[in-house]
Amino acid sequence: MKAKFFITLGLLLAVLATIATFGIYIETANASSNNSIITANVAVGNVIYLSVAAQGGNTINFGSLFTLDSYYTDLPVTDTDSGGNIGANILVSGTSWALTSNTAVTFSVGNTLWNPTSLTSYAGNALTTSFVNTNDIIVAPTLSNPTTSNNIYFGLYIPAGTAPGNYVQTISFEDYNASQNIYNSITASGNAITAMADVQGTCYIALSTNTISFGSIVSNADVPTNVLVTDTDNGGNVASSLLVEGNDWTQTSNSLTTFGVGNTKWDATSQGSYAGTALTNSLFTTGISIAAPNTLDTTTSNNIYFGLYIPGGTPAGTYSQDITIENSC
Amino acid sequence: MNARYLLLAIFSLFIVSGTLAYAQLGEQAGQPFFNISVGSSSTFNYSILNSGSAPIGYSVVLPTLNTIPNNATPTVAVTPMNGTLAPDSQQVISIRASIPSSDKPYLKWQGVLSIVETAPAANVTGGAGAIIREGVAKIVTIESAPPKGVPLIYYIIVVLAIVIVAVAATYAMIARKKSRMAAKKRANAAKIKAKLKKRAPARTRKAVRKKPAKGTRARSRKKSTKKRTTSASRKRARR
Repeated sequence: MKAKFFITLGLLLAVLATIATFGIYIETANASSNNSIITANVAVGNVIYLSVAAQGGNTINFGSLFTLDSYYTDLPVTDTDSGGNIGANILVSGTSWALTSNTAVTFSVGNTLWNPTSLTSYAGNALTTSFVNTNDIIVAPTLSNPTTSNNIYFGLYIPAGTAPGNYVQTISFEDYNASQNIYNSITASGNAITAMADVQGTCYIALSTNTISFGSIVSNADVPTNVLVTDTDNGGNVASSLLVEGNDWTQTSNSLTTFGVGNTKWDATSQGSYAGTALTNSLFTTGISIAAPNTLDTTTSNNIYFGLYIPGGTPAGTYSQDITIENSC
Repeated sequence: MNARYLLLAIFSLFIVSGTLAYAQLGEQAGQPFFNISVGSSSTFNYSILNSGSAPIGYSVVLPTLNTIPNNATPTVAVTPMNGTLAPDSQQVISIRASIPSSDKPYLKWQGVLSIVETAPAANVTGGAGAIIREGVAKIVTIESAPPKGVPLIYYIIVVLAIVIVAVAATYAMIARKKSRMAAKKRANAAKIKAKLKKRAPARTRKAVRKKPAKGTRARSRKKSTKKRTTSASRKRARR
């Protein structure tokens, strides 16, 4: 009986000891693993995303322009960082403008100007073939504002003698953080836009003088057809024809005293005598042409000469005549 | 001494600044060509330009078109007719040509349209001098084309014609149908009559006494001694 008691007591004590031992072990294990929380670590790097967009998607169009004509620096391109985490400056560069029908015909990249703000004139900084820091900043995106952007504005000037036609230019962008020395690493939808312009045919006129004097002449005398007027086209891009007309000579002190317009003669070359074609009071196509200016020779010109005969019996006095010279292209 | 140099500097500056401002008139290339149906109008637009730093006053001289006998000359209207081109600016010039409906097609007129700078101040001293004006010109060509159809009227006429033809055809069809029916009716009636005639019993002919011819006397018919049989008895005999 006693033996049974002590055996039972012993077994009970052994069970209790086992339970106690395991309980302490589990407690100890739990204590060393910090109550089931795992620490994870990750290193997030600095990144800049870049995408550019313009009014026409990835194109800007300056439309129809003439030589010596300009487009205000107000055509925007938006540079966007969608999902990056540091700020950046916008860098731009461009290519020369090239005629789409003949890419060998070009005009300089620097005729395109950029500016961080829109302007009401053609002004700003000339685009170059190398990237230039515009100092136009795209602020760092944040968790609450994951997409940030900024605009760059462009203008254009068509130089003298630029051949007519459709031209294109590629303008490229980069975003750069100088303090981190990081450029945009991933381009979301391209980092370039295409600029377009349509250069129209143009001709100009500038006469070397707005008065000519035949001096003092007696009646029944003449002046040789060698009085020069030069007709110049400064900066156009197509050839033009010269037309001329006049009106009757009128005495300045008495408008009723006149002699005919045809007493003035014109010629394409200087004459040693009073010769050539009589002026009329309707425009006449002289056959004199002014060649098309081009980028190598932006100014072209041609001459027209005048002579005069005073009919016999013309009263003495000062006379004047209006001569109109027009270019047509 | 210093004042003299200052005056010289101011004078020089005046001269230089006076020569910096300039104006240059230009135009967009392309000659206006109109091909217009008689009785119609058409418009051509182009730009005049000032590439200089000074404004340009201008006025328009309308073209004098050639005349063609028995045809009215087309009219040409231009807007604007005058104005001032600001420095580095453009102006659209709109030319509207109209051909009278009485004109014939395939005729051609031409004339020169001028945009002329406002005359500079005369600067003629002694003797004979000419004032030179500058301008830009367009050679305007107008050709007449046959008159345009007026689609709406033509459509109305065509529709009316179709309606008239349809109505006439319908009436013709109805009339033909009626006449066919009438003919059919007559044919049927004739058939029935014929049938009835076939079926009807022989009737004694009504004695019709002929009037004797002149100069002859009436002769009474001799009574026949032949035995007469009726159709019924003949039928019975046949059976």
